[in-house]
Amino acid sequence: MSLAEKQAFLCRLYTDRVFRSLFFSDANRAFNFYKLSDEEKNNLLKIPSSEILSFSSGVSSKNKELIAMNFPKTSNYFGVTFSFYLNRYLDLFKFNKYMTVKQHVINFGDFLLSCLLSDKAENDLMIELADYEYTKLVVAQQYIANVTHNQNYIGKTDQKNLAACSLKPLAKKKPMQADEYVFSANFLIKDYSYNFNLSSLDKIKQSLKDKYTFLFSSKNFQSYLINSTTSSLLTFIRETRSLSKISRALKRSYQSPEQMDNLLEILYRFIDEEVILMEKSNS
Amino acid sequence: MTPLCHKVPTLGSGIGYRAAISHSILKHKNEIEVLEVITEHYINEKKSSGVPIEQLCENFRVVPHGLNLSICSPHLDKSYIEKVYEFIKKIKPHYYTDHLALTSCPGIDIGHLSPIIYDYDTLNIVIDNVNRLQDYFGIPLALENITYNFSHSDNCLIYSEFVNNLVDKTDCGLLLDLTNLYINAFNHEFDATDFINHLPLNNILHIHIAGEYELNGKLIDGHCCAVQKGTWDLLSYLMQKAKPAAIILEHDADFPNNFRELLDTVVRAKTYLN
Repeated sequence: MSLAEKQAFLCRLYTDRVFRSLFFSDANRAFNFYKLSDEEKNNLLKIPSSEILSFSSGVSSKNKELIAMNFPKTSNYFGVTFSFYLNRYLDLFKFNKYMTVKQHVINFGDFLLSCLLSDKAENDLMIELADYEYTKLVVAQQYIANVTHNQNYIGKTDQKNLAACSLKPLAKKKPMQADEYVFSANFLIKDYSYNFNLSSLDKIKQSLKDKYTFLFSSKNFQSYLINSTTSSLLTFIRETRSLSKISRALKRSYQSPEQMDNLLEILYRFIDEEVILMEKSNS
Repeated sequence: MTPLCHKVPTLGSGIGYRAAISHSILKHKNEIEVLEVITEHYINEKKSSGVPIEQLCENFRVVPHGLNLSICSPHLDKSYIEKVYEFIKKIKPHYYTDHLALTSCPGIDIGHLSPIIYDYDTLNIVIDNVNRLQDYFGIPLALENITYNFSHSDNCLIYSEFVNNLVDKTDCGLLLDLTNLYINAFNHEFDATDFINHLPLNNILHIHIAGEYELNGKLIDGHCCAVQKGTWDLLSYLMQKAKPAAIILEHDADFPNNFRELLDTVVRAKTYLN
């Protein structure tokens, strides 16, 4: 009848999960959407369903893999919930030739965060991880766009900070292994100047269990691993946006001037490194 | 005026450009004669990441490789074709490559290469599309053989009959992916050398080689490991019969720590061209 109709039917069969289910359960109803001759219908019915499923699952898992590899931690530690929202995203937003994988990855990050934030039952840690990985991707994307010509960037900073690592999942199109990450993190509050390396999966798991948060500086592309107290402090700062207000609040909470000085120094450092955006002169 | 395949000069051996290895590619530009770039990475609205195409063109002979032409579609996507045309104008390649595959229909992009129906309806559409595109682009088009899990039951032509007819009517080029051929021959149990013997060998412009792996008794074109013996054997066999312009190593993931491993493959491929 029409080659165009036959191709349209095939394209939908490969990409539309619901339509495929309809075809398998009641092919005539699926055929009703297209102008196909009886011979064409018969030929389509002769394609083994296992092959259709295998091909379409290849298409869909390829797309899923491309997205998930850019959210290595969120997809690794919260696989079930991550897949749930990823399936929903891919049902709603199909891959097309006008959007790059990176654009899809960024869009999915936005979609995932919105879904998680609207779903109150979700794990806070998952939201933080998704936020962290999404922000990292957006920053990396901007950074790549801005410094395309600087070919030494990856070579020079490779393995030295998370910024270089964060570019790799985008560039290499494969997930980073957890033990490839070397966090040069500042352990704040208790001893903010204590630098330590976190390079093993076990340690990362432990840190996640203890609900540490990752922060990412858009200025120097350093990552920070912070504990829950600092996380609360930063949440507070985000809402306040005034250093003098923060100082007063800290004064109420921390009686020791030395402890407060330490906290303010941390804040200054975060301001310097643009982890938070605030004018120092406010104080 | 349709451009002629046989006027394409020998370009050499090279590799598919991937952002992850861009630094190494530029560092070893003297050992890479040709670079194959993915068209879609450069024609989207948003600025592409990686090394700018102008810089690649300054350092290499560049061959564009598209993924979404969907050459068997009765209605080619005009906007996509326009963008490809602009890209071709910009980089001035000797020929343009894409796949003999169905990748889209109006409103749907499969995002993957799916097998076409080898019948006369499709053949006529492909002939018409190839002729129009070659006239428009002003350079030959070379179409690649893809891997497939199933064949359509309404096929009434075999691949070699289809492409021989196509080449007769369009003088288009062929991109022969030897690894895809090796995989298909293994998975569907046919003789790959016999397949080669029945192709219009003079029109093979471009060769792909890559690494495959086995999963559940089937070969998969993973593009993530070293080129295996099966592909090298086919390359050796083919090069006694054909004179392609370029041989390209495709490697998309799990890049070796030492880029030299990929370079050695490119250098080995070059020996066949010589």
